Amino acid sequence: MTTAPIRILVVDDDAALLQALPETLHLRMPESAVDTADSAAAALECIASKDYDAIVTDIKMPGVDGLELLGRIREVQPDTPALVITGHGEHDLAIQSLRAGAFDYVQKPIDREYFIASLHRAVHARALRRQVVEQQQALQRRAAALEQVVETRTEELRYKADRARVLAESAAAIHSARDVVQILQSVADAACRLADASVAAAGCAAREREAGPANHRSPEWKAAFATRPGATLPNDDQMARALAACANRHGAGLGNGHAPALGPELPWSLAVPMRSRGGDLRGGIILGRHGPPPCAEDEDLQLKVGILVRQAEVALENVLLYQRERTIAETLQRSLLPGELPQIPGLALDARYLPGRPDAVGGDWYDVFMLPSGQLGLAMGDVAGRGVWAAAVMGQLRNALRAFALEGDPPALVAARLNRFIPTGTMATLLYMVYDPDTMEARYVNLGHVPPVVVTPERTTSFLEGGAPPLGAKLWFSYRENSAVLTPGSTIVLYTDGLVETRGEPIDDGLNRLARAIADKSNDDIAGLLDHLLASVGGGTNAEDDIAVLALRPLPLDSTRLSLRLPAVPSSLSQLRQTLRRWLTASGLAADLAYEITTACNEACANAIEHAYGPGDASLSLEVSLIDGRLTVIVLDTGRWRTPHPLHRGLGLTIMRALMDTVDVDSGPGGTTVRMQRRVATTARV
Amino acid sequence: MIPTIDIRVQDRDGIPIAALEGEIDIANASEVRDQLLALLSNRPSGLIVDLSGVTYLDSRGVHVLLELAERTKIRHQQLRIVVPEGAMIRRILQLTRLDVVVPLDHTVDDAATRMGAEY
Repeated sequence: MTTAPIRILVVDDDAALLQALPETLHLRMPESAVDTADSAAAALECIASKDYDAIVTDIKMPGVDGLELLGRIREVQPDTPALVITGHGEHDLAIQSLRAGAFDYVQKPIDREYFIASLHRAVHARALRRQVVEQQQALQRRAAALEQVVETRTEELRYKADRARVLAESAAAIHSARDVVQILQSVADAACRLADASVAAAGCAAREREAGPANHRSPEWKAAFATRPGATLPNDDQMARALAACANRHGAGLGNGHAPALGPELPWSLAVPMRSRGGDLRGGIILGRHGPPPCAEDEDLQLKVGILVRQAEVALENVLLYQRERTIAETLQRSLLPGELPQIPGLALDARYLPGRPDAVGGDWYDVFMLPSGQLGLAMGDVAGRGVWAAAVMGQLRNALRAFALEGDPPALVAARLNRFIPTGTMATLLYMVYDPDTMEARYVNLGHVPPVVVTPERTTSFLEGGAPPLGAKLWFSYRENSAVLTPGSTIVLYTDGLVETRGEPIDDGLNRLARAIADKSNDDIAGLLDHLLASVGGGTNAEDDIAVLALRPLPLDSTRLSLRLPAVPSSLSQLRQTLRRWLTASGLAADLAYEITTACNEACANAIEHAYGPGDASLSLEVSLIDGRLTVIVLDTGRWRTPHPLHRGLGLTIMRALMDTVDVDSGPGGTTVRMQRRVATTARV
Repeated sequence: MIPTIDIRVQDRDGIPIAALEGEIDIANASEVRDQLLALLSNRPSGLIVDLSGVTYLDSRGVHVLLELAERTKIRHQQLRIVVPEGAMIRRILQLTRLDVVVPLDHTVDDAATRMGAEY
C-alpha cells in the first residue's frame, strides 16, 4: 500500500554488529531504511526526531541499558515495536524485556532468518495497529461530522417550526384585529419575531382606494411600530418616511442592501410593500436589525414576511370594507333621526339616542313631527337586523310613516298602510302615537313594540296596554287604536328594547327596573329623567344594542305669558300659528279673537322672516303676555325692517293695524322690534 | 312644517273652478300663485277660485289673489272668489279691500251662475 520505506533504528554498543545488522537488513528487507545508534542516548535522540516502524536494541549496553531504553521508547513512541537482542541463554533478561513491553527478543548469536521474520512481524503488527487507529480516528471523525449535521438540521427544523408557529399565531392575530392600526400592530409584532429583527414598522393608507403615492403625512396614513427588548427604534417619523419612500420606489419585496437604510445601528433591513386588492400601492413593512440574520436566508425571510403582508392585505380589505359599510349605516341612521324636536308651549319633550356596540348599527329610530291638525306625531320603532340594510328599511319606514301621518289618518290606519308598505320578509316593531296638546289625549298603536310607560307626579307607573303583531308579521291585519289621557305633570316614556333587554334576563325584569327608575325621577325635568334612565337602566356604556328613548310631559299652562323662539324661515309660521291659537284659546279668548291676534302676529313674524339677515341660522322670538285683559305681543328679529315695497301695498302692516289697537315698529342696527297691543275680553277657564 | 295646500280643478261649462284646501302663507304662496296663473294660460273666459276649504290666508295669499285679479282684468277674463259666509278668512279679505276688486260669492253655484249672467 505504501511505498514509503520501513524505518528501522538499530541500537548496539557493538560496532561490528552495528555494521552487520543493517547490511543484513539491506539485503533481506530492501524496503527498509536503517538508522543506527551506538548508545541509548544516541537512540533517544533519533527517536525524538523520527517516527520509527521498529526499533532493534541490544539489551546490555554501558550507561543506559536496553531495558531502560525500552521503558523510554514506551513513553515516547508507545506504538513502535521494539526487538531486544540478548546474550545466549539470558532467558531472564529476555523475559524481563518482554514484560517491559518488547515485541520479541533475539538471542545471540543472531539467527538471521528468525531476526528478519520477527522484524517483519513487528513491522506488520505496527502497520496493522496504526491502520486500526487511523480507522478508529476516521470513524470518530465521521461520527462527529454526523453529529454536527444532525445538530445543524435540528436547529434548522426548530427554527422553521418556530417561524411556522409565529406565522400561524400572527395569522390569527391579524384576522381577529378590528381596525387598521390593530392589523398593522399585529404584522409589525409578528415580523419582528419572525425575522428576529430589532425594529419593525408597518404602515398603510387607511382608505379603500389608494390613489397616488403612499404618503406618511396624509391623514389617512396609519402606522404601527414594534421593537425587541433592548432595541432602540429610530424615531417613528423616520421609520414611516423610510417606509413610504421604499413603498413608492420599489414594486417588489426588497432584501438587505436594497431596503432604505434605517441608520448605522441597523445595518440589516428588509422591506415588503403592501397593496390593495386592485394592486394599488397602499403601504408596507420595514424591518431593521442590529446584526445579520441568525439562521434563515434572506430569501426565506423575505418570503415569510411576504406571507405576513399578504395576510395583512386581506385583513385590511375586510376592515376597510366593513368600516365603509358601518359608516354608511351610521350616516343613514343619524340622518334619519330628527334634528330638533318641535317646540310646543305647555309641553316638555325630549329624546335621547345612544348607538350600540361599535361593530353593528341597529335599526332603532324615532321621529317627532307636527301634524296639520296641530297634534303631535310620535313614532318609535326597531327594524330587525343590522347594518346598512336595516338602516335603509328604517329610512323607508320613517318617510312612509310621515307621509301617511301627514295625511291626517288615525294611528290604526297609518299602521295598516305601513304594514302593506314594509318590504317583504322584513319585520319591524313600531309604536305610533298621536298626542293632542289640547285634550292631552294620546292615541296609539303598538305593533310588537315594548310598551310605553306613564308616570304620574305621585310616582305611580303603568305600562300602556294594547299590542298587535309587528309590521311585516301578517299580510293583512286590522289594527286597533288604544288611547290614554294624561294629566298635567304626568310623563309618558317611549323607548326601544335596547333600554330594557339584558342578555340572559327575562324581559319583565328589565321592564320592572325601568318602571322603578322612572318612578324615582318622575319629578325631575325630563332631560334629567332621560339621562337617569340611560345611566341606570340602559347598562351605561356596556349597551350592546342601540337605545332610543323619548319622554313627553304636559306642563301646567301659564295663561299670562307665552314665549317662543323659532328659526327665521317660512316653514316656522304654520307651527307658530297653531301654538299661538291654542294658547290664546286656552287663555280664555274667543275663537275669532284668537284668529285675529294670530293673524296679526303671523304678519309681524312673516316680515321678520322675509327681512332677516343671513341664510338659515337667524331666529325670531315672540313674546305674548296677557295681563288684566291687555294683550301685548313683541316680535323680535335679527333683521332690518324694510319699508314696504309699493307692489306689496303694505298689506301686512294694514292687516296688523286693523287687527290690533297699537302697532309700533322700532328698527335698530341689531334688528327690528314690533310691539302690538290690544284689549281683549277673556272668559275664565276652569 | 310647510302648511299643506291642495288645489283641485274642476271644469264647469268651460270655466275652471279651482278649489283650494288648507292654509296659504309665506311658505307656499308662490306655489299657489303659479298653479292658479297656469289655469289662465289656455284663455278660458273666466276663473272661479273656491276658498271654502282655506282655513288660513295671510297677506301673501291676498297678494296672489290681487295679482290674479290684475291678470284676468288685462285678459278680459272674469274672476270670482268663493268665501263662505262666516269664514274666518273673510275678515282678512275685507281688511285688505280685496272684496272691492274681486266679487266674492258664498258658494260655487252662486259664482258660476253670476259669472254666466254677467258675462
